[in-house]
Amino acid sequence: MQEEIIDYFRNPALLFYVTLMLTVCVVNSSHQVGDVVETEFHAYRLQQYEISGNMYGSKNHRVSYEAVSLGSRALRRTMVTTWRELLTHDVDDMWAYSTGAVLVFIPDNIDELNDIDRKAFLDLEAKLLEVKTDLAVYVAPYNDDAASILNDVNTRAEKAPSAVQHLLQSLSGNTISITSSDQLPELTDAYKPLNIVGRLSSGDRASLTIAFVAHYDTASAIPGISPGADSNGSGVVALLELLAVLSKFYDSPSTRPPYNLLFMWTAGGKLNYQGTRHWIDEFQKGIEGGDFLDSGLNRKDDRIDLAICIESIGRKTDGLYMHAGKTPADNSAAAQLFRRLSTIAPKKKIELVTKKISLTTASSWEHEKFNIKRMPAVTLSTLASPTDPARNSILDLPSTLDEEELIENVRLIAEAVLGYILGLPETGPSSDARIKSEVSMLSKDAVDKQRVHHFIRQFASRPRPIGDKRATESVTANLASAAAGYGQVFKSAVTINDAKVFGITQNRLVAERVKPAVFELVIAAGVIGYLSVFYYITTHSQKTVEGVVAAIRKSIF
Amino acid sequence: MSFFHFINCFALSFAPYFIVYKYSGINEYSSIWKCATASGGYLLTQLAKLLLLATFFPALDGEGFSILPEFLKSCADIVDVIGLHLLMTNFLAGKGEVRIVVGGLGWGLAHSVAHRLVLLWVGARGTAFSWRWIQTSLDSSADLMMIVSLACLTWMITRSPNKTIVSPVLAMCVFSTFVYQTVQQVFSLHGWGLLAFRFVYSIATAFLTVIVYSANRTTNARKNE
Repeated sequence: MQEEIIDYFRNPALLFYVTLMLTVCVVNSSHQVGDVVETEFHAYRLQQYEISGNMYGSKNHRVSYEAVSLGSRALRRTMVTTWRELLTHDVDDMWAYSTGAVLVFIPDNIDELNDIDRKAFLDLEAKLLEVKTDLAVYVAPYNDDAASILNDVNTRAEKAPSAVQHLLQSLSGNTISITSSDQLPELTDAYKPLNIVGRLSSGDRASLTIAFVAHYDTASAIPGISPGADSNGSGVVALLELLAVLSKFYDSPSTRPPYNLLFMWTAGGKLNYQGTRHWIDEFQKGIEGGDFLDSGLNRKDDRIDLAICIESIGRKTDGLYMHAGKTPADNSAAAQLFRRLSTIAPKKKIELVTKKISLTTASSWEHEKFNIKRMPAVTLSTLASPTDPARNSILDLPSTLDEEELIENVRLIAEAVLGYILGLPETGPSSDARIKSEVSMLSKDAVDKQRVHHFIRQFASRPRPIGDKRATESVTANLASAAAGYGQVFKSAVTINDAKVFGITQNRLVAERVKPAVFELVIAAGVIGYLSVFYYITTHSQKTVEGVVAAIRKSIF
Repeated sequence: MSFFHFINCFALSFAPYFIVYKYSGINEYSSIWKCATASGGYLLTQLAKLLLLATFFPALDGEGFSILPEFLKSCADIVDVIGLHLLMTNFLAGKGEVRIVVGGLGWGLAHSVAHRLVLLWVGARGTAFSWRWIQTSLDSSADLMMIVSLACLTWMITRSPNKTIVSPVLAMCVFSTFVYQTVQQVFSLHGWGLLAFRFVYSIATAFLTVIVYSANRTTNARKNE
C-alpha cells in the first residue's frame, strides 16, 4: 500500500499535471476582461396566482429568447418595450401567444412621477392586473443598459434601405438574446406562511375578546416591487402600535380591562384572506384541552365580541370608513364603537359603509370572513370602496404614507376601544355641550411617533408578497419578535385552501449581444483564409529566410 | 453557434503550430516527441518562474498599473531564457537551426495552450458574441514569431562572439509582455489596436532577429576561414 502511494508520487506525470494546472490557473487569473457584451439586471415578474381554479397573471418564468420590438412577430421571442409603448399599443393578441416572454421597462423613479404619468401608470397597472397569459412577463427599471438594449432592438426592427444592407444586416447584425439566469425553486407544498397572534389577557375566565386583524402581505401586478405601504403596511403598523399602547393597561392587575385583546397579523390577505379564514376555522373547531392554542385563544368558550379589521389607514383623507356587512344593531359592539369614534373625533368624517356579503366570490374586505362564520366584525379603512385601485398598486409607496394621519387614526381607534372595554360613558365625561375640554384616556404621546416611524421602516417599506418565501418568513419573524415585547405571541402555519401561490417574484435576466448563426460561417471562412496564407508563408519560409540572410550578408556585412 | 465559434478560435490559435511543424520541413529533421519535450520544458520553467514571483512579489497583484513594479516583475521572464537555453543545449539534438525551430515551436505551443485553451473553452462557448476571442486566437501567431525569435536569440547569445548586437534584440523579446502591457495602459490601446501593435512589434523583432542571425553567420564564417 505504502509502496503504491510512494510510486504514485514518483510518477513524472503527476509533476506534469501539477505544473500545467498551476500555470493555467495563474495565467488565467491575470487576464483582463475586454468590452462588455452582456449585461445582467434584476427584473420583477408579473403576478401569478390561482383562486378557485382560475389562473391570473403570467404562467411562466423562464426566458431564453431573442429580443424583438413590440409589434413584430413575438412567438418564441422576447418582446422588449417600455411602459409607454405598452400603453399606446394594442397588445391583446400578444398575450395570446403560447411561448415567449415580455420585458417591460418602467421608470426607475416611480416615486417621483408627475400627475399625468401617475395616471398613465395606474392605467398600465390596471391593464397588467387583467392579464392572463402563458408568456413570461417581466418588468425592470429603466437604466443605461435598458436604453442600449432598446436601441439595438429598435434599430434591428427598422427595415434596411437597400437589399445589400439588408443582407449585411442579416449576416452580421447584432441580436440580443435575453435569458433568465436564476434557477429558483418553485414553492413546495410544505411552504406555509405564518399567522402571528399577539394576546393581552384580562385574567378573567368569563371575559369577552376583541380582535384586531390586519393582513401583512402585499400584492400588485408586479409583487416584487410593491412595498404596499398603506395596504396593508399601515394596518400592520397600527396593530403593533395599538398593542404597544394598550399593553400598558394590562401591565398591572388593578388597571386590567375586563376584555381579552387579540392582535392578528394574518397571512395571504390578498389571496382571499387565507390567514383569516384559517384562524377562524381553527377557532371554530373548538379546540379542547390545551391551555393556549396557536390561535391565541385559551378555551373553547372564548367569545369574540368584535373583530376590528384594519386596512389602509395611513393615507391623508379627511375621513375614516367603517365597512360592515349590514348596519349593526344599536347596542352591538360595532355600533357602540362607531358612535365612540364619531364622538372622539368630531372633525373627522366617520362613515358607515355597508356591503352585502357574497358567498360565491372572493371576499372584498377582511371582516367578511368573520361575518360568513357569524362573528361580529368590521373593517376600518380610509378607502371608501373595496375596488379602490390603491389597495394593490405598485405606487402604494412609503412616501404616500402620512405618518401624522396614521398616528391620529391609531390614537382614535385606541381611545374608542379603550372607552368601550372600560365601559366609559359614550358621550364623553359630560353631556353638556358647553364643556369643550378634551378628555382622553391616553397621555399626549402615548402613540409614540418614533416607534411608529420605526415600525413603518421595518414593516411597511419592503415588498412582502406571499409568493416570496424569504420576505414572508422575515416579516413574520420580525413581527413575532416585535409583538413579543408587549404581549404573548402565538404563531400558526396557514394552510392555503382553494388558491395557489407561485414563487419567483423576481429573477436575474442576462441580455447578451449575439450574432446570427450564419455569421459563424463567415468567420470560419476568414479563419480558413488566414490559415491558407499562413500555410503559403510557411512552405516558402525556409527559402525566404535563407534568401534574406544571404542578401543581408552580402549587402551589409 | 457557440461551439462552432470555439472550434473556429481553436483552429485559429493552434493550427499555425501544426502548419509550421508539418510544412516548414522541420518534421524531416526532428520527431514530434522533441516538441513535446520542449513543451515540458516550458511548463517546468513556468513553475520555476511562479516560485520566483511568489517569493519576491507576493503582494503586487493589486489593482492599477505602475511601471517600475511591473518592470521588476517582468524581469522574471529572464528565467525563460535560461530554461530555453538549458532545453536546447541538453534535451534537443541536431543542427542549431533545427533546435531553434523545434524548441521555439514546442515552447510556443505550450505557452499558447496555457494562455488560451481554458480561456477559449470558458469564454468562446458563451452565447454572447465578442471579437475578443478571435483577437486572442490571432495573438497566438504573433506569439509564435516572438518565441521562435527568442529561441534563436537565446541560441546565439552564448555562441556569438559579439553579444552587443544580440542582447538588445533579446531584451526586446524578453520584455515583450511588459511592452504590451505598458502600451496598453499608456495609450489605452484595446482590441484590434493592441492586436495590430503586437503583430507589428513581433514582426519587427523577427526581422531584427534575422539581421542579427545573418551577422552572426557572417562572423562565424569569417572565423572558420
